[in-house]
Amino acid sequence: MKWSSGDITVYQQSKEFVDTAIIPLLPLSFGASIRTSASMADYATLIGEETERQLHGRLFLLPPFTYLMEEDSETLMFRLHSWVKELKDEGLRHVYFLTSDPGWKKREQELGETLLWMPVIPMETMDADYREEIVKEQVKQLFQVILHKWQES
Amino acid sequence: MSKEDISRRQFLNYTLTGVGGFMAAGMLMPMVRFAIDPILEKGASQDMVAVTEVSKIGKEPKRFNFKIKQKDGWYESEVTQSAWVYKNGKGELIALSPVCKHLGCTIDWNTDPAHPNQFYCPCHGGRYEKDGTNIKGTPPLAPLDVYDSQVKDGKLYLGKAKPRKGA
Repeated sequence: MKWSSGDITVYQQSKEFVDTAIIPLLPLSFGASIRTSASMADYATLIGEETERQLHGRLFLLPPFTYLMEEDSETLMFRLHSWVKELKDEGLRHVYFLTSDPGWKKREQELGETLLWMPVIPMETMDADYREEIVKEQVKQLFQVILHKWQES
Repeated sequence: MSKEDISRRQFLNYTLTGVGGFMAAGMLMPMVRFAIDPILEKGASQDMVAVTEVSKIGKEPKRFNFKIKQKDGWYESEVTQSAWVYKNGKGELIALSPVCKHLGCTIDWNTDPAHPNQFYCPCHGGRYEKDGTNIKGTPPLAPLDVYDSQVKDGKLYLGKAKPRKGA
């Protein structure tokens, strides 16, 4: 499901079937890393959307959690944890962070939830078919992680 | 002058009628066109899209992707759709929609080791027979949608996915 009024209606009717949330973590930065942060956003968004399309009925793709690359890490963690708390209270047991920002990989331990870190692949020069194929392949791998967690629970 | 058996008055009458006729036609034509427009409009049904060659389709369901144009407000985009296609016992081509009728996940063929030769939905364990019928006791309440299909020049064309009655 996506964060859109149509999907929310379905969500409210079948809450018990939806137990997984994905939060895309998208960095924002002007200056030297402006291009990097934009392609990170592109990539994570594509991956997130494809995953949502395949697992529409059980997975909630949330609006992206955006932050400045220079943002103070204390406040950043605090903000993120309050998102997670809200989701857990809502009954979404599995929370995943989806990002291409390597900054999160270093702090994976502090996150408390599963980090799906996909190193960014620059896609702006690829043709559409090839891009689609790559995204599909990547999403397949993500599936393994998510499905495995589901089978455990 | 004897050849001219047309008077000035008659000549003017003819020209004016002619010109007036054209003007009237120029005004009326669009109006008539607007009035009957709904009849001329093409059926709302979606165009059929070529998906694959028939020779590539076997007895085992296989996934084929194809692209359709989708209009979202003003924005027109190409959306990839897929279909599970196979030949049934009578040699007919069956094209099933991959969207689970429970909550819309994407189903897969033969991926649940405990239940081989069925369509399986990874989200809530929904299962369907090969012909798309939902299996009782699993979450889905209706069989998989079937695409309108057509074979032309050895190619399979698919249209809209249509729902069927529940089992």
